Amino acid sequence: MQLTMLLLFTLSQLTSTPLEYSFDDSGKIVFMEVVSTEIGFDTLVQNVENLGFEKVQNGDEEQGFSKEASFMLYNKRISKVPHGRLTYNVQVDVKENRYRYVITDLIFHEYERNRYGRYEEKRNGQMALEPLLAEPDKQWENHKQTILKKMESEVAMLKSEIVAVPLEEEQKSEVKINDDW
Amino acid sequence: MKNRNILSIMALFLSFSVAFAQEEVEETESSAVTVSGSVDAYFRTNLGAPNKLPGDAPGTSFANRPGFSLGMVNLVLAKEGEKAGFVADLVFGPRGEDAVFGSPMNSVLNGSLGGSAQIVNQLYAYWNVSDNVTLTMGNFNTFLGYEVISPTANFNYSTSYMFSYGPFSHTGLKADFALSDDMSAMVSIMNPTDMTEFNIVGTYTLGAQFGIKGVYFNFLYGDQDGKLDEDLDTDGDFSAGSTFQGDITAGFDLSDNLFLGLNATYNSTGAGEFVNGTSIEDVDGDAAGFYGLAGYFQVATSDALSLGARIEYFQVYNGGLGVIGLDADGDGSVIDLTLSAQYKVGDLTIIPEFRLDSSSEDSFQDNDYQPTKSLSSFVLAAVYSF
Repeated sequence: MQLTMLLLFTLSQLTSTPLEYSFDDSGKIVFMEVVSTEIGFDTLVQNVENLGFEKVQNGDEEQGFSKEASFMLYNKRISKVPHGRLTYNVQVDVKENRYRYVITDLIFHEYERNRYGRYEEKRNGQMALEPLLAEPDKQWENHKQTILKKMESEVAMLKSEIVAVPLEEEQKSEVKINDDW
Repeated sequence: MKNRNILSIMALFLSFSVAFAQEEVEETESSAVTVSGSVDAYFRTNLGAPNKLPGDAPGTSFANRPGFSLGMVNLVLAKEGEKAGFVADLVFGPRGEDAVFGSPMNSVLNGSLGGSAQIVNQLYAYWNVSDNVTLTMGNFNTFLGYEVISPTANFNYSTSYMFSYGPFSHTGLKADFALSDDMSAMVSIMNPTDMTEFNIVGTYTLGAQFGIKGVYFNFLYGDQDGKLDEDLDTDGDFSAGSTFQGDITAGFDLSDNLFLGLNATYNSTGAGEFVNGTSIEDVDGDAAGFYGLAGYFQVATSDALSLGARIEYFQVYNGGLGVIGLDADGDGSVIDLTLSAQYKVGDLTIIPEFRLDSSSEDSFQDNDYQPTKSLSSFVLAAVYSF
């Protein structure tokens, strides 16, 4: 049996408004959205698992998933110089015909050259992102926009993949060669 | 008496550990064993010099065989636990064989050459005694110098003279101290350099490193071939004196895109001693060795392409090494200029490299097999890391 995958995009999901920085009650950056869909619970669960998420909450009507992700931040000079790596947690909770994503725990891991001139993570160089973005620094102003774009890209990818549904096996039309042709 | 001293030093290490220990060691830790490494191969040709013999190349390590040649497969298994971990760094291929040239001592002892010890580049376990103290025991790559055995961590594919004739690896016990974000220190007690499987001479070497704001001062001191024994050694037997090596590495961002790495080293081995009849006497002579200075320039022109140059001055004195031509006093020097580009395609790095070695005495040969003072060569390397 051959299965093919079809990506279904609902206009409301793809034309979502651009992300903005939002904060929870403790001042942590949180990107969160509840998304309604026509896709059923089992398919949503399967799709989230296919995206490499780890199950953290199990239930018949609600399941929770989590994944650590990261990307590099560069200082923009004549060429790109590694400044550090941003790690964050993506949590996805699934219910029947809806899901929500929560992106939080954004940590900046500063890079520095090691004694051989290669960039590597600085010892004790981990910092929460929130106070760094608050600094009146041109580089961090750039990073702020870069992070937002990366997050928009992450969310768009998540939204498109999470609603993918497998096509039913196509009905094969049989060709019969008759004598009375 | 000698063993008692060694035991005293090791006890000192452990007392440091206990003093710095802040928590009880957890019985088990769960972290995955990671697999990483590299594969490298290259093409090498001399320009205006023969390319037939393996020796038709600068007297430096690796990247010195003619034509299309193999580097190595480097397979590194590691586990980084919160409190403890290990590294098993295995090498296969010509570069790896050259890197562990002191091995296989164990196979020789057992009368069976080609044993598995020949593929061990590093093999050590460590204990993070506290956030600031790590104890490591086993076989680890050297803390001296600016270049390393793995081609993924060097900018130039060929290596410098200082790297080639400094130590590659040590086996012993070391303690690393993170004194602050910008300051670190290390002390170690080790077998003689390159005796990486066990110690057959009974002397030990001390190592130390102090790092501050990206500048590292590295020191090594010890007798590398043991002391003579009146009851064992016979008339005329000779033993070199203790070896001292002091080494500095540093790196500076000269501008947004220009980086300069520096390495200077000084190596000296005492004249030693010999058996005269039934007594042991000091050799009447000066210490011998080498010293050098190298600068490593790197310019990033784009995400994919970087350019780099290494310029090294290397001096041998009192016949300390026979790797370049020496004058009647045993002195000789060589300057090598190496221009490299690194072009990255995913995890693959392509390195075209032009190198010029120019020595004070005849060290190479031209196309007519006549001695000459300079050698030009070209290397194209492919290094894949995973």
